[in-house]
Amino acid sequence: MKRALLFLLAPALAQAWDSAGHMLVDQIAWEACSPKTRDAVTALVATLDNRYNDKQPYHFVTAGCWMDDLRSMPKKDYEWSKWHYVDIAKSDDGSLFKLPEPPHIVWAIGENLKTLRDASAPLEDRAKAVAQLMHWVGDIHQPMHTTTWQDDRGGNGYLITGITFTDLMPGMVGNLHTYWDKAFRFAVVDDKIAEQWYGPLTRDRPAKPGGGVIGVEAARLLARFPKDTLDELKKPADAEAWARESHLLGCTKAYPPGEHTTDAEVRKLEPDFIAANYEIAGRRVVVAGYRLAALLEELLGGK
Amino acid sequence: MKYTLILIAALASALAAEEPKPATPAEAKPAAAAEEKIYSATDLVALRPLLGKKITVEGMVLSTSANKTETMRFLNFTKNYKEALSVVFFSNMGGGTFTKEKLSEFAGRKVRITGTLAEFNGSLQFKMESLDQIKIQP
Repeated sequence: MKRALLFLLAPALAQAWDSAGHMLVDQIAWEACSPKTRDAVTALVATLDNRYNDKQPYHFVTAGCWMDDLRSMPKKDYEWSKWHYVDIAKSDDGSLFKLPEPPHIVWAIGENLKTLRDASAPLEDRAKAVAQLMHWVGDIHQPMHTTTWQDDRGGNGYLITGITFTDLMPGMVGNLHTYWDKAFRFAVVDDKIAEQWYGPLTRDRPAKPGGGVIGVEAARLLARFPKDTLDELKKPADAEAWARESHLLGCTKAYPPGEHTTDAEVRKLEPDFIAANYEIAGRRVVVAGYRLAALLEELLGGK
Repeated sequence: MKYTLILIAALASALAAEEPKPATPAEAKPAAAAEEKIYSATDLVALRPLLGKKITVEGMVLSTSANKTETMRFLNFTKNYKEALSVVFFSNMGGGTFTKEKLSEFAGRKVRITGTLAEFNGSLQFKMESLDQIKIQP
């Protein structure tokens, strides 16, 4: 009962990376894609339903937000909730990794690939598939999207304090999943936890690739994590392997040290934890961007 | 009005107390190079006594917004505009540069803005004349 009440306090719609995170992934993919692939993606996503994007057409960098933007529709109409994650129980070493029955994120990526490899698929289906793929490839690299502990729904039931979220509704309590959605921009400066930049609201999203704070921060991430230092990219493209990789991080790094919180507990996040995750999350965003670029090149770039 | 009177009194007192003397190059240089004080855009207590003065504030831009007719646009440092200095752009000013797209470039980023501190309906504000008044911080 207590846990149920705490869930009510927590944000109801914890997403994967927040929209800023998804745009970073897409911006990095944009940088790595050929002009032909950029054009193909741009043409497809411009046709997406944009009523929740401040009525602006989606472009390459905002397309990854589409799957979360649609959560603004009536809940009964949102049919993709379980496509964003795969809940796999936490263990000390990630050894419990086993995919459950679909739907889940690994399956969803497979479905999108099938559509995009089918040259006869209608344009509308291809547009949805590419936007979904862009979103899932981001999501699957967020450790909390592949890990759950004591049925906490990927950290949604693990309440936290110690950091300030600028984008939570008044009275809402942050949880570990919400933190991980934004972990790439919370760093430690002078022993204090500080949000390094703010994620733009929908109306402030970049008008085109490379624009605004997303363009600047993507460039910073690329400088911090040069492609040739990312050993993860040497492995073949495989959504299950990506989920396994994230799950291992979810098991070993994503939770603060110690036991899980009790029902009434709100755990304070410490600077050491935040500083370590700033590096992990930034790297995951960059890896996701490069992997997305490689997939899009294969699917739409004729490679 | 009250603050204006206080300001005038303070200025008059300062002028009366100091005997004017010609500035030499040696004296002028340190004054020009003196480090400008940067105020937090959310520190309204520190800002309010500076009404009418040209100052520089620093803050992270949370969002942009506009009035219904989009004749005015704003950079917001906080969710509640009353908790920070308001940065106001009249769309017919700025030589056509005060657009949604241009202002959105500042969203999420730390900026320094220089302007003359004014008050409107009890809220402190900068009425912007040019985007050059805004400097994005690294």
